[in-house]
Amino acid sequence: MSHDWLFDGGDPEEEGDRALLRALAPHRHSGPPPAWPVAPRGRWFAAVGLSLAAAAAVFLAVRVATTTPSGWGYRAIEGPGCAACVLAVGDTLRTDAATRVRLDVADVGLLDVAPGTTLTLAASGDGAHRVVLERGRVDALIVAPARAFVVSTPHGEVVDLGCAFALAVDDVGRAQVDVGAGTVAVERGGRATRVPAGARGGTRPDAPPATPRWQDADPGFAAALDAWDAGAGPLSAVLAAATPRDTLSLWHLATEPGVFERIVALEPGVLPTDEAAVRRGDDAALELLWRDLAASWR
Amino acid sequence: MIEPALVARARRRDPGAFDALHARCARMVHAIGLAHGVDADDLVQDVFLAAWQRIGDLKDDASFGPWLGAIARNRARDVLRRPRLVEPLPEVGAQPPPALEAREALQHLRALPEAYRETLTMRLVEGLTGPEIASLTGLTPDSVRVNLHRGMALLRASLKGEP
Repeated sequence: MSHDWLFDGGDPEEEGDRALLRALAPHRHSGPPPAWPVAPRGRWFAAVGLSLAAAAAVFLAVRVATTTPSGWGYRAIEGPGCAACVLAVGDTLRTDAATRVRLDVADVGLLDVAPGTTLTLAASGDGAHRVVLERGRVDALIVAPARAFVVSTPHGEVVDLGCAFALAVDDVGRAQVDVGAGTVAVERGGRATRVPAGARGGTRPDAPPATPRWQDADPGFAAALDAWDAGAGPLSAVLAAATPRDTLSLWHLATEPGVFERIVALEPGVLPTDEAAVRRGDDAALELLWRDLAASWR
Repeated sequence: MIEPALVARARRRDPGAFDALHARCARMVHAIGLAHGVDADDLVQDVFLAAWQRIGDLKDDASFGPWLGAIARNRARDVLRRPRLVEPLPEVGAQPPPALEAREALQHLRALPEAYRETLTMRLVEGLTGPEIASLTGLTPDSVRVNLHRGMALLRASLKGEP
């Protein structure tokens, strides 16, 4: 078998090719590695992590005094309200327009309950904790393994995968979740969406979860995506408005015609993927695609 | 493939491990910078410092190379999107610019379709072999071989002035 210098290495036989290599040689990398920082540089997510860690430390210090085996401790942190109360399983907590409450989520986190919120403790124990958020807003900081904490809303569930998120439910039961750190899953009827830090997901009445998008997504893209989700707009408008970062949203639509091609056009560096497997919703193929795309979202 | 044990050491921000990763992967990153037409030396420094900061985000140690490559492409695109008011000046004491022939050769390489441009730059400029390119990028050896040969055919035609 003849030597394939181009693939195997070594020198080409043709003088023209050798001349090309000589011409390109001055561009070859030869620099030393950088001076590695003694400590990681501060970035905004490091600041978030520190604030979360500080909050978690405060939570752990308070938890012992307020949480009982049969309920979660809570206290008002703004406005009038209880200074040291317990929310038992089955009980409902309603905050008025002036009161914000901090609720200790068993031994796994904190839930800040905004004014005008109605929330019921549905279950707590054996590493599984669930609340039902009927309306209003909660900000969650969870330090548990994935899926230990779930918030049920009227049209879907928000499953913590180890993170911090803000979840709001409006008067018709639609939920919107903004993830600050980590990832949440929004699930309904066997359909699940994946919402990483910096992204927004949600639920819709009588429909699968809303397609996640970045919280700072271009308004034109977000509008096209909302229209598609509602069945009121074409997928072509979503694809046309998408930028490379919007592959987060497109990943969730990858089984639709034309989406995979658009993903590759927006991110040509994506590794070769079995398009047929992606189109038919193969979990392994979709997971590989997620991991590849996720590296480009940073 | 980069040894997972080396990446595991890098997760602990071991400078020696990162030096070793730099030795293995810098030419890939440099080639990506050249292929995108940005300052490739700056890109290498920037990307490896980013990797130092974000190594905790890497989900699979075996994917370090492709992960690094994705960071490099995004950084290169960010650089290209920035408005450039003036052309960068050469640093005092810097090496003399490459000869005209070297710059022209690189321009022809950059004019290739993106699918071939990076792979061919890794081979022809940085001297990486096909198996090394496959190992670093996560592409299959067959894909690398196809990219190299098709890209080379287009490059030869371009150098001859053929359409």
